[in-house]
Amino acid sequence: MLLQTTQADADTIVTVQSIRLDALIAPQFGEDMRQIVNGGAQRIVLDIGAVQIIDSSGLAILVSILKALNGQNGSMVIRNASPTVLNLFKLTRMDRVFTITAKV
Amino acid sequence: MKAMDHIHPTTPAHTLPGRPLYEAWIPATLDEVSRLCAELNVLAIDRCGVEWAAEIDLGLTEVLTNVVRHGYGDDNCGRIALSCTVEDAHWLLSVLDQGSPIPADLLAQADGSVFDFDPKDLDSIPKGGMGLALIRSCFDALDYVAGPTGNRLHLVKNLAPLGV
Repeated sequence: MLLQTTQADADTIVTVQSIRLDALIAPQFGEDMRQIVNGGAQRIVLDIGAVQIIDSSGLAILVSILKALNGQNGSMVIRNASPTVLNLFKLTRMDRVFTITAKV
Repeated sequence: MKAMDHIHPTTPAHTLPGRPLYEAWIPATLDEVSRLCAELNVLAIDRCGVEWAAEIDLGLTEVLTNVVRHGYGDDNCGRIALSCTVEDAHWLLSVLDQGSPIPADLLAQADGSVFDFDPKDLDSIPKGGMGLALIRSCFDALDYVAGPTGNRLHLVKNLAPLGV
């Protein structure tokens, strides 16, 4: 299972259980996230602690999900990013788009 | 004879100077790309640490994904040859394919400007082009030659290995 979902008050915690969010995984990730958003989740906390690599395909999906959420006054924060994933967000300036916290 | 038969990791045009670390000749599918990049990541972590390995992994993932999606497109009979050598503090990667070449202007224009969008305006985020820019960011040098018998991309990553 790619995503594990739990509820914490008003937050929907979505934990990614794949090491790679690359072009192979991105379509399924996008589909699964859209189901969560369409299912009514307004405040998503995306835990990417297990993820070691996100490529441009994975980033594109994250942007599309954020757009969908913004369109329904929702929000998404990303937590538990590894240093290498954080570097990618900084490199692509996506750290200015997403609220993202580092892995502790 | 299949078109890819002559592109084999041991053909002279494919070899790079230095000690071979990894060689592969894979079907051009995203499954194989993911598997290969994950394997190389493990080797790279062992030799040069997590951060450098992640950059090599990301850059190579973008390269190979482009070959699968844009080089071969719907042609699922394509193959990709990869060779990786390490010489002192330099990682040298060579990618060979017989798909459609990368348009020269796209490669030339792939710089960090694709990341200069307005972060408050999600619609200003480019829908494409980040892959090529990431490739240029992850490697210190790249040399691309598109020819009648195939395309060859050489990538160089300069780094200091662990313990040196």
